[in-house]
Amino acid sequence: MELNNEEIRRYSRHLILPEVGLAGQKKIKATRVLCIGAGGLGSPIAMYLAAAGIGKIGIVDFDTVDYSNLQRQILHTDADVGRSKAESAKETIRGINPNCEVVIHNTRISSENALDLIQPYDIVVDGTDNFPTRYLTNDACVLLKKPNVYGSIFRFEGQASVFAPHLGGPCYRCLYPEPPPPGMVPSCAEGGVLGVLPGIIGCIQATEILKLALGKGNLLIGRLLLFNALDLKFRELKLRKDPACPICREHPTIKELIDYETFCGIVPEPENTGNPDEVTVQDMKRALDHPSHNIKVIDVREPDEYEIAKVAGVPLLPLSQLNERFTELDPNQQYYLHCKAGVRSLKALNFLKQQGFKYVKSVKGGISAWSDEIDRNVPRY
Amino acid sequence: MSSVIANGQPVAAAVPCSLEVFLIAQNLLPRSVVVEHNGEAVAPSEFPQRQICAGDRLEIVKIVAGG
Repeated sequence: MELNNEEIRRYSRHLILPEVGLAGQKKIKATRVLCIGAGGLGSPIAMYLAAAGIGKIGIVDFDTVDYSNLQRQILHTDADVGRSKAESAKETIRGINPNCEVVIHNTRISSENALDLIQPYDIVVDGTDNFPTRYLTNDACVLLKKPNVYGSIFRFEGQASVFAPHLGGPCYRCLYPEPPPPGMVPSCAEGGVLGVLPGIIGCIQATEILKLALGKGNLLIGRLLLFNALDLKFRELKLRKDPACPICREHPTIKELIDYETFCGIVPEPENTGNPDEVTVQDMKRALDHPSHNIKVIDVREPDEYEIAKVAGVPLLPLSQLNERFTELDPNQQYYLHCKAGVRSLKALNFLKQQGFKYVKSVKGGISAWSDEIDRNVPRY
Repeated sequence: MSSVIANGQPVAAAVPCSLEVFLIAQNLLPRSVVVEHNGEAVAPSEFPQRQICAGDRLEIVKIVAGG
């Protein structure tokens, strides 16, 4: 692995660092990194790694760029909306450093393809946004003995660590052996995230990748670094390998990849469509258009969200207040509940049913589906 | 009721009890948190046996998945 004159000029600030030097820069160039997810975390990771001289970056993402991504996913620009994230990422990375080979995997990582995807790379970086993919990434990395550079974010807080049981540290399952029940931990789409936050956590992940490539410094192995942007504080927790870990202990019970959707309690789509507790936005429109049907529609989102977008004539009763305020409702009245995407309204429905309400339905897809299918003037957020 | 120091704040708790029982009483999912007990890492499989006492220091972090 040699550096040409252009590369020597480009990496001069690395080359004069005693910890990097020519030998280190060659190691960086020889390193192949697979970035799972080209979103909030994947953006700064891929961009800084390319700039720093990583020789090959693989990008796995099946998604397309949405307007709501641009607040933090700096790989993508306004002009990329609607394009494949992997394609857009490749263009940005090549613009930063044409010496970097970019391989795009415009596909959803799954138990069927994960081992083949990861095998050709030295380091995996987890920039995904959901539990099934995080467990899948972890398990595949443990099985293949690849370091898994972990980061995750929510609202104003982030976490980072390096999982590498083959180097003596714990894996993701040593921290979180089982996923939380579906709907218990909100996603960034539901709970929000500060635009800069993935930049900070992603840069920490990128730092660890360069250190792994160089074989220098103290890695975040056996440590969980936590960041709180509101307090602007970092703290750190010690981690240990769980002697009962199902995948990285000496005689593991998990020896191959499993079905991660099922493991995370996610019901496949076809079964989802027939949920008797759900109605469609078209049903909601009929209820609003025909007061004689005597169906009341209630918005269970939070007041801040109601201010951003609302459906005319629908009153607000936030899920967070339902516990104290459900007595304002009539248990014999027919209600349709809606939220942003249909998750919280199902929670509200279950709560009201426990309180003896008989005729409650949840609007599938929430106000987002209303905006898409009924009234485009309602902003989608 | 006695208390422990969780993430720097005093929290009333029916101690002594196991870490598992404490977490459930705090409405936390024991399989979805990372815990450091008096500066020491605790693996999830040890939560049911790990006893916590009045004044103990706990650092508790909840799982998040955003990216």
